[in-house]
Amino acid sequence: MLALALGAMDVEALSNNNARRKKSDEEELLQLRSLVFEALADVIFHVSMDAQGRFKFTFANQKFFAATGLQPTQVIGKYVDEVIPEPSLSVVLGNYRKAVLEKKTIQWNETTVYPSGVRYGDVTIVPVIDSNGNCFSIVGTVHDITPIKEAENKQFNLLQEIHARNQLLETLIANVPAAIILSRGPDAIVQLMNPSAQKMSPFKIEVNRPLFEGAPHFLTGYLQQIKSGTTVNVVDREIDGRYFTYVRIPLRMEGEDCVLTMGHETTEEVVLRKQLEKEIDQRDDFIAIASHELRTPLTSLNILLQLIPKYLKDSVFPDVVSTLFQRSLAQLKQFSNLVDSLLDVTRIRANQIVLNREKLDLSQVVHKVVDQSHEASKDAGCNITEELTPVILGDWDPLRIEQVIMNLLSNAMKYGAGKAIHVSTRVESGVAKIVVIDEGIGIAKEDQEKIFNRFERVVPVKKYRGLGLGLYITSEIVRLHGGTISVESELGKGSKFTVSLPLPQENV
Amino acid sequence: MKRECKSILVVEDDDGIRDVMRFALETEGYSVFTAANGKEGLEMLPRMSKPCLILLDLMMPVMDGWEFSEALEKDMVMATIPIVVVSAFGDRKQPIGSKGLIKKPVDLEMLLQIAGRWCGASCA
Repeated sequence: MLALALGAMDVEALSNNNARRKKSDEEELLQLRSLVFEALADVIFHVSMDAQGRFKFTFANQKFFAATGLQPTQVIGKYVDEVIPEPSLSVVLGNYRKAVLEKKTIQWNETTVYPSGVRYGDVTIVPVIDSNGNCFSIVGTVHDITPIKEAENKQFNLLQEIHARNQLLETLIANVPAAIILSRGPDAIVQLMNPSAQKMSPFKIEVNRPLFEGAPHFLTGYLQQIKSGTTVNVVDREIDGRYFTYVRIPLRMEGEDCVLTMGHETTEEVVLRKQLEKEIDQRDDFIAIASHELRTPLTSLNILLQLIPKYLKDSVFPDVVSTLFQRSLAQLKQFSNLVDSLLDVTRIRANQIVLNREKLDLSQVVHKVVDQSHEASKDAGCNITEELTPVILGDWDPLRIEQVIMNLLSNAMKYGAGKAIHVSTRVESGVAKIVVIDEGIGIAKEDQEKIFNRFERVVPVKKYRGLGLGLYITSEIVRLHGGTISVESELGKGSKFTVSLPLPQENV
Repeated sequence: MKRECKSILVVEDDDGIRDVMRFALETEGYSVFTAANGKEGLEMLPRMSKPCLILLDLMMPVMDGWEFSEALEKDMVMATIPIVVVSAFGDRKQPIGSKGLIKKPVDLEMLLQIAGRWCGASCA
């Protein structure tokens, strides 16, 4: 009994003790559980579904608050839609419902913007099934991959930037109007080249082939340049009649000698510069010739004018004085003609020549000029024959047409001294024609176009004097009349100049 | 009896200058022969008495002043004739045997002085 009584007492005590121990165990378990939850590296949470099917946070470990930047009061006891913002919320709720309804574990990647910033996580939710097989809550873990994602994003952005820069560089290299070639090693194997290089290179260039495959003699200079290790600038190098300006920069890439060649074709500039230099030379020659030509009549005038006072002192030589004055006037005329030629050139250049057109008979004008040239042709030993169509009427500037005929006759006498000259006029295919034929030195085929250019001369000035402007002025006067001038000639066999002038419609 | 005058050869391609020089020298009493280029000048020399002076232009057609003086140099007798160049180009190379230069436009007094220096008093 005692034993029983003791036993009863013991049982009660034991029972109480057991109850205390049980409570203590539960507390210990709870504490342990809590320690475990907090010791885990991942976020752990519990949500339960209410009668209305809304999910509410019932538990979350400290990792949850640390990761989201939310306070426990902002989470525990709050509905999920009060804690998680859109657009993540729709996915989260969808998955919660699915887990509860289908009673299955669901995993997904989630990106959510919390007060702490953008968080990336691998989420796993597990449905909590009670003893009746019902499910009204879920337990979830979130493995925070934000640092990894951020590093990945950083790397991705960096790669994007590198890619964008590469694209920009490639676009620049592809479109720059300069040749860019990267070659490697002593054989100058082409590593990279842009379309401009392919287009303008005097050699055939192919990637992975030697740069000077088609022109091996260029390799020697190239190798010497690499050896010197210095940047080399080459200006206007002539290669097969074309010109190139380029720079060669030696580079060390991946342990090998490389050369970056950048350049452009300068043929156009060089041709233009040479043309300009030629024109400057021509201008200088012209100035020298002009000063000589202008001095010639001045020389005569100088002597003549110094002679005149000698004979004026006494009037016993009236004929001599008269002759001196006549000669002075003739020299003045020659001087004035030279100045007129220079003025004409200036006027032609400035488009200032104005034609004073009037009705006139071309054949009559030609005859008048031939008549005026009588003395000069006698001096030159040239016999001028005429074959003129009686009347060719047109609207032309008489003085300018006289100048055209005089220039052609002067040339014929100059280059065909001692030989016959034939002048004719006719109407042919609706145009009036003046033809002057000489039997002089003739003009080489390649020079026939040049002779109508300004300052151009195809014979040495020391052999044939003059400013080299006659045919230029002549062709410009003809052009202003709407006509053309042409030449047919053979060296040593004389020349035939034909001037064609349009006739008024009523005469055609 | 006609007095023998000293002769001068003028080789000049410009008609105006040639005539004026001939006139100026003739009025001083010199016997003047003219040629329009070097070739004519060489052809003229055997047909005239040996001149005391050749007045030579440089830039001429057919045969210029330099070619003329080179050709003259080859003739033992003719090579002794003094040549004075009459040219606008004082800076050009002077031809062989050239004794002086008269720059164009020519000063009459200088022309007559040069003639007097090489030919002495004229017969006028």
